[in-house]
Amino acid sequence: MGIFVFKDTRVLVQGITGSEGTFWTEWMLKAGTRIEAGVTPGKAGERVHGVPVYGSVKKAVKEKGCEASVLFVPPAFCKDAVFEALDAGIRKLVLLADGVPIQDMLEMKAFASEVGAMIVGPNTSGVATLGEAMLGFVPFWLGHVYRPGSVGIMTRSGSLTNEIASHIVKAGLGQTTVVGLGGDPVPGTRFVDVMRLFQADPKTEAVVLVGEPGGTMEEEAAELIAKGEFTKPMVAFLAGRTAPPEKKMGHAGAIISGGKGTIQGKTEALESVGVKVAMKPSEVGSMVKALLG
Amino acid sequence: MKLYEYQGKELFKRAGIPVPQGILAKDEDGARAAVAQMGLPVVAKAQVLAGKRGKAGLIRFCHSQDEAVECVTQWIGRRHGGETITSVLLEKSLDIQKEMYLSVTIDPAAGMPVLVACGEGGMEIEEIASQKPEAIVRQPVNIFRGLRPYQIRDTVSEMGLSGEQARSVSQVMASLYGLFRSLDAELVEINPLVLERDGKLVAGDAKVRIDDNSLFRQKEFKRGPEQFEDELEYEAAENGLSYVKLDGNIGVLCTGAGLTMTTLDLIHMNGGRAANFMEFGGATYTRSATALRIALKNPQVKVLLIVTFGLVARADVIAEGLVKAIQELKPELPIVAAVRGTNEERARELIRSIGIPTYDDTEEAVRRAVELAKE
Repeated sequence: MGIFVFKDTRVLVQGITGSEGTFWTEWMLKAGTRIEAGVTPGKAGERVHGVPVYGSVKKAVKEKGCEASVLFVPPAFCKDAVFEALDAGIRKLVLLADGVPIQDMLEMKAFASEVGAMIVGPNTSGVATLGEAMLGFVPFWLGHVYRPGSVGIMTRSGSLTNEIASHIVKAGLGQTTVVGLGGDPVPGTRFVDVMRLFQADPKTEAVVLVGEPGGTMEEEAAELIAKGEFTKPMVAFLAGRTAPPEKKMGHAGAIISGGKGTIQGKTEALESVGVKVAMKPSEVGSMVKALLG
Repeated sequence: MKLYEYQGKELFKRAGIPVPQGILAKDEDGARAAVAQMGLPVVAKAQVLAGKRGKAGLIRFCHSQDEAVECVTQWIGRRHGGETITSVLLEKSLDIQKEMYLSVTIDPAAGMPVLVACGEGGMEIEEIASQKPEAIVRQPVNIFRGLRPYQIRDTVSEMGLSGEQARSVSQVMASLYGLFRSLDAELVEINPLVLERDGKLVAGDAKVRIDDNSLFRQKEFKRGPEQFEDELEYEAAENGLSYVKLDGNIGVLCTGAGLTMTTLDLIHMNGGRAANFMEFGGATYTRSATALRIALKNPQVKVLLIVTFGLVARADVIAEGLVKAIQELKPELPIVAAVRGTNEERARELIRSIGIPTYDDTEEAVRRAVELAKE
């Protein structure tokens, strides 16, 4: 099990014939992902690593029954590609692009919420359910970093997630699903959305939250726990304790503005509802292990 | 990117939002001509992107031509918020009856545009929010339906306006929302929105922030060095790198924003001080040389710490780029590296081959860098 994407999820790759799309399709297939089709307008009939390419999402959905889509599409074209997927009935999307205009994202989010779809990203490394499927570029093949297990990870970072994941494996544990929400100020999916899924997944026994300065997603996570809607053990690691205010720290979403979005505030909110907050990445593994008993 | 007040007011004017009569002056002659044309009194406002102009004495009422000239000649060339003042906006002063606040921005938690309004203005919105939170009206907007007339009516009535005032504020709201959408803005703000004694409504200030990710289609705007507090930050951004200058002596080169911030935190925890934030991950991993060159331009750097845990970027590709850059630039300072990810064994070999110690663990590498910085 795990969440969001499974070994039997029929997956579509939008932008499959581009260099990134082609490169990562091979790795996604190696992860076990059931990639049924690819889409690139004007390239219908081609094949990429054996995957048939269609000219439109509608066609791919009709012929192959795709349920989820991972998009290797440049930022300027993401809105149209996401609208096309939503219009064709796709309800799970992973938007990898870094640099999506924020108002495009507002439109995508509004459309997704109207039809009850979930967009993970943008500016993310994707989603991986270890041992089952991977959408994006989570390096599942690094055995000392990722392996199937019982810990769910939800994160705003890419490289840092590898670091944290490696300490989970070092502690003798593994992961169910790793979900990268991305570093943008308006992510399609928020921590609370992922927590609801992890709560319902019997295989996920504990969840690790990897947060950053800026925004309110960590505080919302604490509220969900306070309301009793998430009850599994949680460990958090928050990067950017020493980040200066009013500066974008790499991610557009990682900014302390008007005294809001500080790691101190987020730590207090999470600790007040019983979440263990690690000060160093190396503490995460042992803290999760202790919680699982 | 932020726009200057005078640019914002140009855009306002185009959108039908009334602004005060004003002329941009860049020297003494310009100032004299502006006053001769508009008459007295005028308000002189230094054009800078950083806030707190009023507190810095960069907004002044001028009752004579000489005063206006003095503002222009004294301010130009002066530094404020990391930026050099190059122009001063001279405006016909307003006969203020009432000040209000109006903005359209993005509510990131809701993922929606939001109209924010207040019947009282003039101070920062954060101040109003802390002193009179009940006076602020927030109207979330469905991006597909746009700002509807009923939402404008509700907002105006909650601001306590009626009659002609309500009508003119309504028009400004509709125009401001249209501007927000057409500019790909993150923020369009009028503070204060001034009601003059003769009943006319005028935008006293203009704050506009355009989404950097939309600049490929907002071709009217180009990001220049004035958008950055430090010239190295600008140089890095032009090369697709994220760099923030800090005040320590450990130069940092990392992949991923989160890992970079964590590395800075760990340096701090170990009693060291980082010289910079530098992220060269993602699509820019082959730009190691540029990243290295920029990091070394800061003369305070005593030790270089490289921490990567690649996703898209293969560790050996990063290492190759770094080794080449180090051989080329020959930095005369100690370097510590923890390069992990796909093909990390090969990466380690490459880096060790030029005599640089590598670590498997971020925290160990940080400790070593802090030790070296203290020597």
